[in-house]
Amino acid sequence: MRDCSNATMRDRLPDLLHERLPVAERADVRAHVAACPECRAELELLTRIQAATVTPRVDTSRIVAALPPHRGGYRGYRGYSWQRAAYSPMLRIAAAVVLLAGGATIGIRTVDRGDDILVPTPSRDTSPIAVAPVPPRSDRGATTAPVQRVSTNGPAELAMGEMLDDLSDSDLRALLDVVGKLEAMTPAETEIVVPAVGRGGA
Amino acid sequence: MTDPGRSGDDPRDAELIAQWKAGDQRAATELVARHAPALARFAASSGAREDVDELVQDTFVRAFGSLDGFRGDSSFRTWLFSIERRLLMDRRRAERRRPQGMEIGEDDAATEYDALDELVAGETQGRVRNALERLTPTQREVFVLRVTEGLSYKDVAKVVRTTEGAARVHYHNAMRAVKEFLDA
Repeated sequence: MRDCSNATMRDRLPDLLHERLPVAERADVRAHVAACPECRAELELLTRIQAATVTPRVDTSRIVAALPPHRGGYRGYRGYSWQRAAYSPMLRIAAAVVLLAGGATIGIRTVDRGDDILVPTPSRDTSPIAVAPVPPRSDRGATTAPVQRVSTNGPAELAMGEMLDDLSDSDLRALLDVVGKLEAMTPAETEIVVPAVGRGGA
Repeated sequence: MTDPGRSGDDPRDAELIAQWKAGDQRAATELVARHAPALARFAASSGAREDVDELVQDTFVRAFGSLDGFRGDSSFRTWLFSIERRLLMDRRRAERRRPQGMEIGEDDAATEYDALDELVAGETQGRVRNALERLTPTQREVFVLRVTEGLSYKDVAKVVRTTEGAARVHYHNAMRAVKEFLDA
């Protein structure tokens, strides 16, 4: 069996066999095949090969049963899913910002608690919420409002305060009460300067 | 088994895919019915043995599992052929890695013969089968996709992962070899 020299027409033969050619082109190829014994023989061979092909049996119902279920259909609102939301990039960014901001706030508060804060010094001989006693000092001006610097870091640091050595137990309890109240304040409000009205005050 | 249109029907496939995505399971049934025969033919002609049924099923399972990734650059059937060919090549590779002690037994050889024998039956069919057997694997794939399934060179090239020009060369070489065998 010889080959036709018109490769373009030979290329079209399988398309003619499967009726895939546009109408005009189909007419051209058919006209060529009618006039070309080589192409006619080749088309016959293709027809035989196609007819000789047997389709193996396939159990389509079993295949359909094995298919994965469709995942949704309508792709609009599908209810809120935390699992899906957790993978949202925007949510991840927002969570990172919140974590950073929260961490920074906690850090600032921790640092603030470690710092000395100014509290009113309770008076030795008055009620616990009385004004802070200030020992007379020659280097302090009488018009300056004296303040007591107290550390809140613990008993050891409390003991370091030179002005606390001579406080009574009730004074210390009162001081701790005041410190306890200050703990509940926000960092921005912790630094309170109360003019102490000392024994010899204004 | 129905085999409506050997070369497929792209608009109808697109409709069915959309219906399946919208939740219509019957669309999957029709898609399988439309394309399973072609996949089975291709599998058998490519040398799949007794596992033609399983190979076709795996092809559909994989295709429906990733149907969202089907962009429609080619026809649905062409896409299915590509998936099936990849699965077939994976299996061949796995078979090559089989330990030497697990060589193909007589039953396997007989089944392979049976599968090919089922593909083409009778005297004429037998000669065609023998002619196809002498082709290289790529020539056979190209020839079957072009002649039996009616794919264009462009789609054939996509399935066998080559260029359109190379697919054309494979086809003409295969046709020449088939003619020589049948003329002999």
